[in-house]
Amino acid sequence: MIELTDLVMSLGLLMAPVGAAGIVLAPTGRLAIGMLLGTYLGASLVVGVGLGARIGLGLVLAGLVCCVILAAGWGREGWSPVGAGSIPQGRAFRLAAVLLVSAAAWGLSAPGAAELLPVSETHLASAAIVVAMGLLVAGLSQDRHSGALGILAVLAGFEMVYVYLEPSLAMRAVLAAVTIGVALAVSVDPEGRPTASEEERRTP
Amino acid sequence: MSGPLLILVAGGIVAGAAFLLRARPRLSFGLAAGAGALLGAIAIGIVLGAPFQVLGIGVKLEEGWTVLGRSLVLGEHNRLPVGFIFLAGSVLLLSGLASGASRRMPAAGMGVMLALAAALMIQPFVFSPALIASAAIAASVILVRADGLGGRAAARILISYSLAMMVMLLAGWMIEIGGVGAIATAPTRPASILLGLGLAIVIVAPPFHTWLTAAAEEAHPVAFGFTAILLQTAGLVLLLQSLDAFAWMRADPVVMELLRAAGLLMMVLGSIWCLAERRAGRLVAYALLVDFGVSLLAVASGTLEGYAVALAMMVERGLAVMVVALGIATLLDGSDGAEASGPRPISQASFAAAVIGGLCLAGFPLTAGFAGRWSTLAVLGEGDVLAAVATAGTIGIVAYAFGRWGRGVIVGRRVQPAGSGVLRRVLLWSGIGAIIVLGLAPSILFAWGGAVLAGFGGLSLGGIP
Repeated sequence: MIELTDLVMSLGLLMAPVGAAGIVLAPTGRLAIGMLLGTYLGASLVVGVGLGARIGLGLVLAGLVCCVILAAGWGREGWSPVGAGSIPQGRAFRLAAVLLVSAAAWGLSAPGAAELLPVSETHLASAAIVVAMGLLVAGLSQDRHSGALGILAVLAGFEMVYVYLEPSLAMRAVLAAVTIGVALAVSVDPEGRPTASEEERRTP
Repeated sequence: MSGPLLILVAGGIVAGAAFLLRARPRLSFGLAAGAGALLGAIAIGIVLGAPFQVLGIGVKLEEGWTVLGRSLVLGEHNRLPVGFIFLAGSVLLLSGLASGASRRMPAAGMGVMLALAAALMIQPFVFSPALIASAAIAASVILVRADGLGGRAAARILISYSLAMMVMLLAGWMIEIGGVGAIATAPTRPASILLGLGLAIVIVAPPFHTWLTAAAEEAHPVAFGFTAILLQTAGLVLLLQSLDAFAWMRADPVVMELLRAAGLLMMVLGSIWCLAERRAGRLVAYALLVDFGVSLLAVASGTLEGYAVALAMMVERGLAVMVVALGIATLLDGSDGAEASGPRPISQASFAAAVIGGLCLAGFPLTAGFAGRWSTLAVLGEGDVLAAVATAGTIGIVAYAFGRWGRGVIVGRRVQPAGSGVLRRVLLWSGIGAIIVLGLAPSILFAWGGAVLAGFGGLSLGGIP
């Protein structure tokens, strides 16, 4: 007999990586944001079942606020992931991405890593897929919108595991602030228009 | 009332006010710069833990403030770096006002300063990467292109610092909560590698410097300088805090060798890129890499003198970047004399600032930058031929690159005695003066470095024998 909590946990473990993969494939900005919300919802189900509904609710609220900000900001711009930016050409940036992804892969596959973390292998795999999809989104384009979607997905995957390591309220608040901060930074234009000197400035 | 709470609440109110006043740049920049200077002075000089009087009213500020189960502590160990963040930030905000930087800068800049101050105050410090990432997020708002869009720099800084935060939080968990102790046994190696990777990102070591070069190309020079200096300063302090707190890091020769290798790599790559570069902004970015590489060499010496030199160099670096960025910004925006026909004239002060600031970053003799290089070599000892050759070589190459750039700017143009704007002239000439004064009397810099170092009690203990 399957218990409800196991069912919800399984749903979350499936929904989070599927949502993250959806961000990679989404043809429109709205759908990509919806997929990000799905990722956060999945992550919050996993966290909520494991550590309590309040922590899960906090995570999904942060994700919801973040998605609302993105939808409001990017809706005005009419941003779409198709054709946005291009694969980063800078060799240094690609090298940095290689090092970071390698470190993540090494960290997850190192002997004893899974034993060190207080989560199941399925849980770890689900979080790892979310992180990998997020890195893929961020790495596929140098467009700031895609970069933000990617890093937000990575943060969701990271939280799926890190919340079990450090469940303090302070860290939840700081990570929620980081999540919402990323959304704000790429969505809100606090100035409206650039200054005249910015418009006139030219490279000598 | 506590010191950290006072700083964060007052700074938060100022950031909000600067945001509301963004349509009036003089007011918003002036408010943020003034408040930054005041908060810096408070962080450095205010009496903590004992009553004192302000306008006849008795006040007592506590060192610590506990919020959501974590503490923010302003004490002897961190008040100078926190003060430096605010003071350097306020001077750069004034430079932003003088050079027509983005109106986003005062509010977002105050946000950056507050997040970094909180990062330096949080206990245990292994949680500071999350706050440094918050500062980088706020900084991404001011690293915009001239057309107001985000560009590559914003996305890259967001990605770099968010990833740095994650790996460092995991490392922090392994070290603090996961039970990895002070002894350098097997479990510390994964923690060391993760911590090293995170530190490499926050000190902007190659190949994690790509946001720096993108920002140098896209953003206003002063906004770029503001972000680079404050984030690199936080990175250096975080590195020293790690060495201070973890005896196994100080004891591990591999850590020091890696720091040395990273420093040499930054010096060599930075100077090669300087040689190939002709754009002013990117030249500054590469010179910054070289300068920070020298600081890492000093840290890698593993001596108290070396740490003090690295801390002294953060002041020199901040001054040089302020001067060169303001000089370049005023040369680029054309407000020094755009009324003339033919090739646009340039102002003496702007040109001198751009070149002298660049030479200071290069470590040219008689500038403040030279003192750091000379002292680093003194700390490393006469036997370190590789460091000596690298240091001398990079001074020559970076100085040549700035000289070549300056020649390209000045040839065929008329130099006029003064550009427009009193504030701009005051900042430019006082910055140039400070570079020369500190170059002639570097003991001021090292006294500062020594005073900051006094707060790092663990560093004086050395490593585990």
